[in-house]
Amino acid sequence: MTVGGRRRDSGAACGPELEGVFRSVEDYYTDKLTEHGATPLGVDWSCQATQWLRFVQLLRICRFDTAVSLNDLGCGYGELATFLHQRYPRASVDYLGIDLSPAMVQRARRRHRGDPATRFAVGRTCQRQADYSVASGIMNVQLGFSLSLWEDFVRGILLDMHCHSRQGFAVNFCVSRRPDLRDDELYCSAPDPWVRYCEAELGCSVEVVADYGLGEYTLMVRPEHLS
Amino acid sequence: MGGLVKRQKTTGEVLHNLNTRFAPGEPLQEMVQLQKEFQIFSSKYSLQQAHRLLNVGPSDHSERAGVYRALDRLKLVPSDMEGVNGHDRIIRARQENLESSSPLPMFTKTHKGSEDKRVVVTRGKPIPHEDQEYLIISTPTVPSKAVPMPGGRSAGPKQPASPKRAARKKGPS
Repeated sequence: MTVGGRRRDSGAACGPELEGVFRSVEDYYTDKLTEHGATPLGVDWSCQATQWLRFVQLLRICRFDTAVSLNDLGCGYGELATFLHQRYPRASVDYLGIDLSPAMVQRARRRHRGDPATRFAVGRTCQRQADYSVASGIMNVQLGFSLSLWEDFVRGILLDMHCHSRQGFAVNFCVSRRPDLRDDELYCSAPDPWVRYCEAELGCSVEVVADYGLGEYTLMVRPEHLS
Repeated sequence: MGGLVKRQKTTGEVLHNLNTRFAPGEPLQEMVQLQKEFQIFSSKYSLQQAHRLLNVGPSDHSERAGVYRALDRLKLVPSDMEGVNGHDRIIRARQENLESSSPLPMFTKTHKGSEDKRVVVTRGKPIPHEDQEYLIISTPTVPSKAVPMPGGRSAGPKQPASPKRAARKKGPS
């Protein structure tokens, strides 16, 4: 089966141009970590409070009343896992954080060592089937790539998350441009095109969460039969 | 912040960061939502912790410890509210404003401790070219002792004073 020109069962988009995107994103975040350490600035967020507010929205996709598994694509230094344990201390979560940057994964492992239910892996796809997948901010930093190439990258990520999430997945997108960044540095999009993509191409139902004060929105995407 | 910070521009940078984060429009809306979700300005967090969560400290990390100590020392500074120290007054003012039905943007500034030793919270229009009303939070400063710089020059005419020093000089509330 193909979706948007890609095999539906393959997950992440591929091709030499996208290979270059993945490599650039990896380098970008490794450099950020080197410059700022395991802090919100190290993953390009302004502060811990806004980083947490994004996690609150993303984790709305999850029901924690039973044991669940969770993929965190683009996990950075593992802050979502920290937040998860603080916010839902009684939840039983088999957590896998995945990041392109080996340096990020190394820091994440160090921060969560001794917790067997919280694991990390280097990679560009979700890597396993889980109940839920989330991704925070990984669509935003366009790094000067063309819009069409970047949107291929986004489609590949959404497809991968869909293929690896039994109960649903959640991602966030910027909607407000920043005057200090060029259009091809920060990817911003209205919700409609991605809602349509998830509904029409992935066969999912989509809830848009906005108005949480951050100039962005979160898509909560669930398989049609669960909505 | 007096001798607690080494660079003259640190205080100005912190004030700028605060005034940017609590500015009208999207920044204020962001703060309202953060307050709603995490109660950043409440008894749950000290002012230092709130500043850390919001990352409004100076970009020079070597200055951060001094700024945080200065925030803690606001507990020794009186305020315009009877029986409430300067630290708690700021937290209360931010909390009440952010949780109100029509929150105002917030403007943080300093004033001379020799004129008023208290943390003072008012409403007004602190930016002359704007018609926007703000909640204004002003903390006392005193002229600093000249801080020697390499080469024997002084650091400049003024730095915010240690609130603790100010409180000692003028007595607790």
